[in-house]
Amino acid sequence: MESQNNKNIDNYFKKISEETQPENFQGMENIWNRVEKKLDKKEKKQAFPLWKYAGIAASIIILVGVGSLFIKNDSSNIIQSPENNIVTIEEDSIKEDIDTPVEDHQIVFEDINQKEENNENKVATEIRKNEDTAKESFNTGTAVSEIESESISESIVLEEESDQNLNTVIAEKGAENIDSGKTISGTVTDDTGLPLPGVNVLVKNTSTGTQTDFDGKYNINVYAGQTLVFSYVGFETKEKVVTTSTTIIDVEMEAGEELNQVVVTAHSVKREKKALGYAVSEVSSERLNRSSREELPKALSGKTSGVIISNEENEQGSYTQINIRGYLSVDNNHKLLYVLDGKPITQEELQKVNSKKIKNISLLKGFAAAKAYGRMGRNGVVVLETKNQKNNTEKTIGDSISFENILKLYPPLDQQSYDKDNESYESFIENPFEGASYNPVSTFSIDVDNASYTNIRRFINNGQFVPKDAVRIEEMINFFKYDYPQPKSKHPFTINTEYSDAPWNSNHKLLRIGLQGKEIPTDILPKSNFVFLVDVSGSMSAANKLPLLKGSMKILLDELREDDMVSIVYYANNVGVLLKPTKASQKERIAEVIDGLHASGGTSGGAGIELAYEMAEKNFIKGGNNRIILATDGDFNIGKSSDKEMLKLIEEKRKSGVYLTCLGYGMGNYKDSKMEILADKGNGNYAYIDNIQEANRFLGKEFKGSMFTIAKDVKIQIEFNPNHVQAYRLIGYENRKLRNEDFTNDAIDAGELGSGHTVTALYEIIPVGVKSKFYENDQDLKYTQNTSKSNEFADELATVKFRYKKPDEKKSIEMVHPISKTPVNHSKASKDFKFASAVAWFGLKLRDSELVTNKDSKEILKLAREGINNDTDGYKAEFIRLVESVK
Amino acid sequence: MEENLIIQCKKMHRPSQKRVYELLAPKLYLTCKRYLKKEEDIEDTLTEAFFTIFTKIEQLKENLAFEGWARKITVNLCLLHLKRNVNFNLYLEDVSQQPLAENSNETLLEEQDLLKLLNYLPEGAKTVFVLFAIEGYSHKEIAYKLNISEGTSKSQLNVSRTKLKELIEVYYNQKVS
Repeated sequence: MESQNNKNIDNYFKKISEETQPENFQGMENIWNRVEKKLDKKEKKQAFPLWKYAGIAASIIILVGVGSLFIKNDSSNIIQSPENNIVTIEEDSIKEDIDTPVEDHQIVFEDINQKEENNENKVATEIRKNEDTAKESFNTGTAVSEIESESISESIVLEEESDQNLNTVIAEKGAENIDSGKTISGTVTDDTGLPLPGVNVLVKNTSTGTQTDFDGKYNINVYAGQTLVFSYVGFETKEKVVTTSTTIIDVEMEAGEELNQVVVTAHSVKREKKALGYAVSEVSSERLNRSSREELPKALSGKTSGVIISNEENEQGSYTQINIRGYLSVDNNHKLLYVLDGKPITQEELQKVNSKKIKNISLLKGFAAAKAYGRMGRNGVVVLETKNQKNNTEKTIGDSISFENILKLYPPLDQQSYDKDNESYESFIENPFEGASYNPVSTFSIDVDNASYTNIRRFINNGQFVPKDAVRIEEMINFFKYDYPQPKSKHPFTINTEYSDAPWNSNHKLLRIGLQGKEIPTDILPKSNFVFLVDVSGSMSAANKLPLLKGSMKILLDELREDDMVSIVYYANNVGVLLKPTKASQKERIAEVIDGLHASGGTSGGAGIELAYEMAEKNFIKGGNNRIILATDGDFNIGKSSDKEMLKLIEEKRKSGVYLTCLGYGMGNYKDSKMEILADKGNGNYAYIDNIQEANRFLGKEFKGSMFTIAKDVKIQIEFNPNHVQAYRLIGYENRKLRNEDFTNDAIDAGELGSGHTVTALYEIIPVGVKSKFYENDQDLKYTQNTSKSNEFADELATVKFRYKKPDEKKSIEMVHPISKTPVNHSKASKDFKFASAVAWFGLKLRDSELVTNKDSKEILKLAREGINNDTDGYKAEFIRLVESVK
Repeated sequence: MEENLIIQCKKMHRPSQKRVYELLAPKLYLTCKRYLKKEEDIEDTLTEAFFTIFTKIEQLKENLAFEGWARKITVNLCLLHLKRNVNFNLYLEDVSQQPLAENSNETLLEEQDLLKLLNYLPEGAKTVFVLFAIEGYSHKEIAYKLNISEGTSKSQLNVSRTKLKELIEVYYNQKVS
């Protein structure tokens, strides 16, 4: 089938090519002239010796003949006319001659003496006829040529050849007579008469030339008739013709046009490869044109790295899409900026650019592009230079107007806003106040992560603006240690509540709910099976990524006990196992493998995760701590990479009982949203490692909490008493909120509590009878019976219910904890309460919350300082420093 | 072509040569065009070909075979030119490419223009295709002529076939089966 198909194509073309009728083509005459010239040259070279004598004889005869004609009175006519006559005869005679074999040339020349005579007679006859009457000549002329066709054709050959020989002889003789070059000298001065040194003196259309000396003098050998060209920077170029009589040429140069105007471009960035430093690749025209393709984007394919060139087709035809690797998106707003000779052009215009006319193409990526070309260039810029760019300077000036407009529309980006643009954060809306009489129940899952805080810390320490969506208040509050008592009952955690005034609004109250996870002594911790899943893609090469990752891995390694198992899986373009399960006692070997990591290539995160789960499941320790530790910058760009796909993958893998810890590194293209989803959905936790101290804290000091789960799917449900609570709102936990009915549904995933972990949640409460602009109490419900009107639970503000599962169980255990309605005076509130509320306040300030009017840093600072307690590690002091930096 | 004319040419009779040129040039031009893309290259090669034809004509034994002989000279000169300038082992990167019609309105071309599609093929692939399909050489001969391996010849042929099918679909909106 296939081969038949191929044969058809072959035959198709063969048939058509056979059918194609040859016809005269353009340049046919031209080519013949070239062939003729070549043949002439060859004949001259080879045939001349043979014909020498005949030629010389012929030329002498002709000379004599010509000479004799000169003597005659009517000679002038004769000299010119033979050619004309011969041309007319030639055509006729050749046509007739085709059948008659022509005698050999040599024979022709042997007969020269006679034929020459003949010829002359013939010419004379013709001329005579011309002179007589035009009409007659036509009639009789043909008759004559018919009769004498043979001799005429021979005479033509003779004529041509002898003419040629004649010319050669004349040329040779002429060369001796005409001067063999002479020396021209002179002085070149400027218009004021001062000598100009270093003026270029060139013989036009040759490469011979010289320069004037210090006194403006020059000597040059030329032939008469040649032209000397004088050129000097800043002066108009002059040309002087050398005649036979000239020996001295003095030149006075005139000053050329001066620059009338200098245009200064604002924000002129030198778009040089070197100046931009990184992420630039260049394609020269030579490389570009190695491909036969005329359409530019296609000609680019395979010529440069880091660029994806794809063909797209739709009803209108096909077009080519260029993308820079790592800048792909579905919504098509990652378009590249194309700049042709400094002028931005559209994709459509680019298609029309002929690649043969391009001198050079540079591809700028990342910050370099954004810096040089503004916001439009943040997805990468393709800079095209055409070959005739320099000749068009005037045009470029006109073009630059449109470029200025671009700069106006899109101000240049600085590094920080560029980074921010490329990081991704899931956006969320902060919880509003809810009426306690309409919706008295609030449910959420616990969150022990604190990545948001460390990420915010990185922003503030770098002097950057904190993106609103990067602030998750619960993760800020939970970063700090609070003094809650250790559990003594059978439950793995204690519940602590405190009710006091809201510091940012004196009319509002604040309810704090704290969980303290049980601290499990190291020696009775279950055995661990850790799979390190390390991202070694190209994006990890920065100093705050892979090197920091190695450092933190070693910290973690030090925490492991001898029996713990470690394996290492990497992913970049491919995935693979670097270290098969190894006992942590072989620390040196493991460290060696970690040290050997280096970054390059893409990020097949999806495949990496699958392999890691496979590894973890293969070496599953029953009752043990089976955990994948994923270290990445969250940038997945190969395979399953959308948030949704990742989520699906993780949810499936979660059932295996393997936990997932996500460690986020680096900045610039940090994908917080992805990491959060992974950790949330994958029964795990998530930390952002901004420096080695944080690695030390999360993986070292809080190793047990981070790595050993004591309770999973911990959910909190709180029911407010409408007798006391008019409205309430949960601060933070926006993306941890659960539907009320999900509280009792054990299939619904929720947060994990690690050994020794604390979790704190804050509710802002508007008590009954307080008028607040944030919550307008409308009419009572008609049908809902207000049961709480009874005095049975008059003392209770609310009831908190907890549900959790033991790490290896599937059924939830429920705990209930009522909260007293009596608030503690703010001055008597515990230090932890104060500090936690200060952290929340700061978070609300960073999020620019609409529900808090007072965002005075001084008051936050005062409150935080009052709350400092049990701060041996100095994290709380560090928090105060951060608050100070954000005014 | 009349034998007389050839005999005259052997005698370096210029008018006869011109006549031969006039008769033969359009045909040989087409031959060149099949192999070479650039007009200058075609003209150079054609000039060279006629020069060779006229200077070596005395080596021609059978006058009736003149036309075939002249064609062979032309083809060989074309190949010589290509061999100097084209890397026959380069073709992979060209496979993905798909030129657009210069003017998208004229998608439906004359059947004769189909031959122009050959110009969209990479040079190496084009040469092999012309030699194989139109001139009817075997892979072995092509390999010898172009100084490439037989495998290269085969795969180049494959490339051009695939490509031509695509091109025909693009330009003529029809499947070649």
